[in-house]
Amino acid sequence: MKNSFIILIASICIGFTSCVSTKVKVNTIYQYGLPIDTLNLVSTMIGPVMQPVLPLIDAAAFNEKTNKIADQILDVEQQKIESFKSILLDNLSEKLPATIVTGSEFTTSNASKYKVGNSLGIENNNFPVVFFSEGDMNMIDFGKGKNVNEIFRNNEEIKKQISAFATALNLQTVLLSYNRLSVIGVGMFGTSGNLRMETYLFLYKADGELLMDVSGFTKPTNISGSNLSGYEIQLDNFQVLAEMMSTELIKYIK
Amino acid sequence: MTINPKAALIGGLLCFSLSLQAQNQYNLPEKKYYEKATIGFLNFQKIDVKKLVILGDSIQYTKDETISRLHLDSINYLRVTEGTKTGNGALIGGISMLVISLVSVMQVQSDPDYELKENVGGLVTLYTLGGTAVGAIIGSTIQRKKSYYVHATKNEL
Repeated sequence: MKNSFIILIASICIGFTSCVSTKVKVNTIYQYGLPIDTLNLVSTMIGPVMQPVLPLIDAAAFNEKTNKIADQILDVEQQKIESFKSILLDNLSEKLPATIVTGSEFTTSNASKYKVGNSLGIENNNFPVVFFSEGDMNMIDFGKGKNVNEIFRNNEEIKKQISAFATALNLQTVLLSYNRLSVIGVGMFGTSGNLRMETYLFLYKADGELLMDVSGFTKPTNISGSNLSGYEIQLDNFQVLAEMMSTELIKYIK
Repeated sequence: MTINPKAALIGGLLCFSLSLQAQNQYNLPEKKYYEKATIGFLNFQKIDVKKLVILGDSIQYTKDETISRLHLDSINYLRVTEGTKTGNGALIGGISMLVISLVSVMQVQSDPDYELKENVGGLVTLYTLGGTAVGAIIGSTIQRKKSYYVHATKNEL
């Protein structure tokens, strides 16, 4: 009786998370109508797949399936990084009144020391790189690349790094786009998992203070974990997220 | 033919410095030989190879009984096996059994119809050790694979 009750609750939870639709959220302490004339989109990134830790055995079983095809997932992400940049750029340019400048437009010697190749190595065993689009710059220490809050938000170090970067390049704003796949839940014994695409835009002031961040999550899909197609389908949802996030961002910028 | 020791020393130092330079330029594993590996090319094709040797700025491998050599500039990544998941397995097995045992103890404690045995601590330890051992055995059968993106920028911030 007790067991069937637990199974019922688990099914309801999995069912509920599967029904949640694509959502976008803006975090800022500022009011609508920020006067920004230039947005410097200095990097568009795809980070490592976020993998669950709990429940221990179920998560480990599911993660093993993801890790087994990690090279295939990384191949697809590497192939998609340039299209992510152009999709985001098209949407921002179309919707925002501000001029959008990308990383590749910075060619001074000050910019060159921040330039990264197409990938940056991080301390992650299964997903050991963050992919960057052509000409992008980086000023962030990703560590294991797991906790978005620690990497981009509540961090004095990043404030200093952004500020030094903005001063060196004489920028008023710094915009970063970070994207990743995230497994937000797993079924019993890791037989299935709920995967979603997560997209973040971080807009900083020249002094490194975070002006706002926009996060977008796609509707999670239930995948077996061992087929690449499940991951690819979620990555293909970037277009929808970019569109929704740009629409949300326009409300805050004049 | 006699070898000039000075020239040999200079030659040796030059080779060593070139090898160090290549190691700094490329993101490569520490080990220089792998029995099996996968090579991912810049055009996203990949091949499984045997006897991979990393030689400074190039690699040598065997595929279909043929030995080939390639410059690292044409390679995207090297995927190699680096040990097994014994530690992870042991940790997962141990923690899982510990949690299950403790939950069971708490359930028995809260049920007036049952009584805990005196040596319950020993039983919990036994189950935890058992879980650790089983986890380690399962983990030891799973190989830990790691990809090295040869051209990845090093995170030096």
